[in-house]
Amino acid sequence: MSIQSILDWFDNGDHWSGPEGIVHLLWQHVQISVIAVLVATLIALPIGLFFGHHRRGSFVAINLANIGRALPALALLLFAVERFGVADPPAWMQTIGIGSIPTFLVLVALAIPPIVTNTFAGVSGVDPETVDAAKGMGMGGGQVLRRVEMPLASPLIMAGIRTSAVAVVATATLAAIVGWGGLGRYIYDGYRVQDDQRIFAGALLVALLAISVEGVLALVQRFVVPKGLRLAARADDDDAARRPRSANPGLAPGAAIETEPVVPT
Amino acid sequence: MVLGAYNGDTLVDWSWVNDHTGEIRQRIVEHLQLVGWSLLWGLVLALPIALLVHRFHGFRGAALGVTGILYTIPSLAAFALLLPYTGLSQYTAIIPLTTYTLLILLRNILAGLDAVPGDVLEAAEGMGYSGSRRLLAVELPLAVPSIIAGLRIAAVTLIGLVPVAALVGQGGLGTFMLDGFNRDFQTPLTVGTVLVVIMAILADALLLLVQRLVTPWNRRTARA
Amino acid sequence: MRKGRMRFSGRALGAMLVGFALVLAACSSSGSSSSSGTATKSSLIVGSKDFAGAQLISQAYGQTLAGKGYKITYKDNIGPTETVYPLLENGDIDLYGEFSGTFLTYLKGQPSSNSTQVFDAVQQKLAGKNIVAVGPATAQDVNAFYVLKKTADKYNLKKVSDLKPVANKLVFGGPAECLDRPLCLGTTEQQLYGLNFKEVKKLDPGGPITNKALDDGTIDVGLLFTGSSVIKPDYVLLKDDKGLQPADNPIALINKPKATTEVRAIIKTVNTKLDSAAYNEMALKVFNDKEDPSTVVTAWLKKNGLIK
Repeated sequence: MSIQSILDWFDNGDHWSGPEGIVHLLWQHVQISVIAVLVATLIALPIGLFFGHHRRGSFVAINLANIGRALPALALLLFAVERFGVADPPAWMQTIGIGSIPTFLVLVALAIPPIVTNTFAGVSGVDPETVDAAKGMGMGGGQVLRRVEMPLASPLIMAGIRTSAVAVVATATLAAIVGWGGLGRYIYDGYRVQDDQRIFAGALLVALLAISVEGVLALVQRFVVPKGLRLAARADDDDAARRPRSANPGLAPGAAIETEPVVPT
Repeated sequence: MVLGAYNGDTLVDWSWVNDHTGEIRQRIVEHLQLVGWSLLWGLVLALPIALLVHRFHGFRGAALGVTGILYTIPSLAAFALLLPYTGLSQYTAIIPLTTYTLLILLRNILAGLDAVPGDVLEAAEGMGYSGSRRLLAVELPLAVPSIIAGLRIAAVTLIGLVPVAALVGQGGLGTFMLDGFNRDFQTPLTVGTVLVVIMAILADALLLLVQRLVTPWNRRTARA
Repeated sequence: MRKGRMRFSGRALGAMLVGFALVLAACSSSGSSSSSGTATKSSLIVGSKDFAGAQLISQAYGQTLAGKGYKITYKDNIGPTETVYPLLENGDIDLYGEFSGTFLTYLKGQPSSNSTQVFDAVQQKLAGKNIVAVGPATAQDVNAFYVLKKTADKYNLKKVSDLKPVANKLVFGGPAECLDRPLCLGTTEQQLYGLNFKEVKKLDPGGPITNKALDDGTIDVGLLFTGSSVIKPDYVLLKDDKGLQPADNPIALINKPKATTEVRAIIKTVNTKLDSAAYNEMALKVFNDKEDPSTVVTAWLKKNGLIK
């Protein structure tokens, strides 16, 4: 396998079109990742906000991340296929990008914990004095959440979503093992027929996609996170945003893990 | 081969577990070996890189960038690409798994080193520690809790990742998962999965214990 | 005080790492020492492809050799021919159970429906190589196209060539390597039969995913193995009327240095007993009774007096 052979692989027009083509598989991969992260966010955000706002359930929130990481993605996928089969989802699901029900469910399940924990950490970590000040200005609970806690927690919330999104993109490659598509097809099929170019091309595409997702979400973060917090976020550096200095494990054994990154797959 | 309708499958058939204690033990050992060697190699590589990067800040971005990119390579692809070179030896799994630990460990070691308070550094300086000696004798020991926290994350991540290596003949508990799945046989799939989760929780707890043992001064001042 | 403790922490960490390494080293050496026996008979690493039938034959060869005093280590369920054969060539494994027709196609030979011819062709292909083939057994386990009975009734399907006029309405499902293997589809169009399916799904090698997909109508035509897949009562086998599938009999592939006269003779004794009935019965036990391939094989070898 040489660089030239990889370039040739990408140069071959046949590899771009059709049901086995890059365009189709990439689109499948992106679609199911986007919808999975969206659904996971819709589920995880309210939970994290609720418990964070009421400063309750920290034990659960912290341990949820640990359990989430301990669950082997491959096993979840095998269980999901046993339970739900490999039938094509109904048309409406396919329209919104869910090409495979078991894959979708596993991705959502893996994406929820980091978002819950980060949202919880962000909201519950808002300085109580700031909250008191907001209340003193006459804000109700909902207003405090919307106008004070959420904006202040937004860097951590976004970090959680980024963590989940990258993990989802990586994990979606496993879907090929259980008969679905996405970029994992190149990797698994390439393995089955010992076609190194195909495996490498697949790995490259997945890695590029993961890096792009990071980039896009970093951009989103710029719009979501209030200006005043951006400097602080930068000091934390985009990677370290997930592992803020304050989470030095020397300080609190549990806290060390609550905002950790990405699961490679 | 004609098969009648397959009726009923319990989550765990305990007689199977009884008959397979030997193999279960073997798979656990294989699993632990892959995780253990990868963690060890990861630490051996990440520690000097982190120390260098900490001293020469210019390389920090590069080191995190490269390990970050390594982190995005799908494990199945890495295993499959190594197979022609490393064959069925454990390196087929250990090399990619080690690269995954690098980002986690590097970040944690650096975070630990960064968090050493300035006054401690000044005090060390005052006591005659400087440069590399201060780094090794003062800063590194203070970063130990953070390093172990990194090991915890890396350990749990790897334990959940090793099952994928069973697809390329690396053994471990993933073997049970795939076998159960391929025969529509619930028991091995359940047993493999449950053991992986238990292993992850135990490894996490064990490293937490180590973390507490080696840093007795942190025990009560957790939130200070 | 603090300094002392810091030292303690650093040393403790160091000690922990060293201890950790020692434990690992101990584990690893205990694992590998088992294969470096000093017995007079040599040791062999027996690999297997990743479906039940292939595991059965690899086990049968391995266990019989073990019964004669050879030291056998198993590497089960590695992958398809494309993965396992290179490992044999590299010497990662010494022996594995293969299927003659599939293997001949892999070597880019021209298979036929005659078992002897196929095996002779395999031998010719291997001439000059460091690999020896021993076989063939009479058991057959070939790729075959299956449809549900209702699909067969609807389109009046009895043989594979009946698929031609309706293929563009049907979804096909087979292993991931299907489009690269002439014995499956080869390309997106099955050349011999001129089949152009509406869609081709890549599922698994004759396993539960293909079964599920066929059952719930996700696919209309599924590729399963006649001897080692789960063939349910409402599946209809489409007759291979143009002879796409070659004779596919179990053979043992062995690294030449390990293929002593005695080893070959032992493998031959297994092959003479391994007919389709025995093979199917064993596969049935693996799927239906959830017995381990190794257990099933042990029982069969004992019954046939191949091991004690």
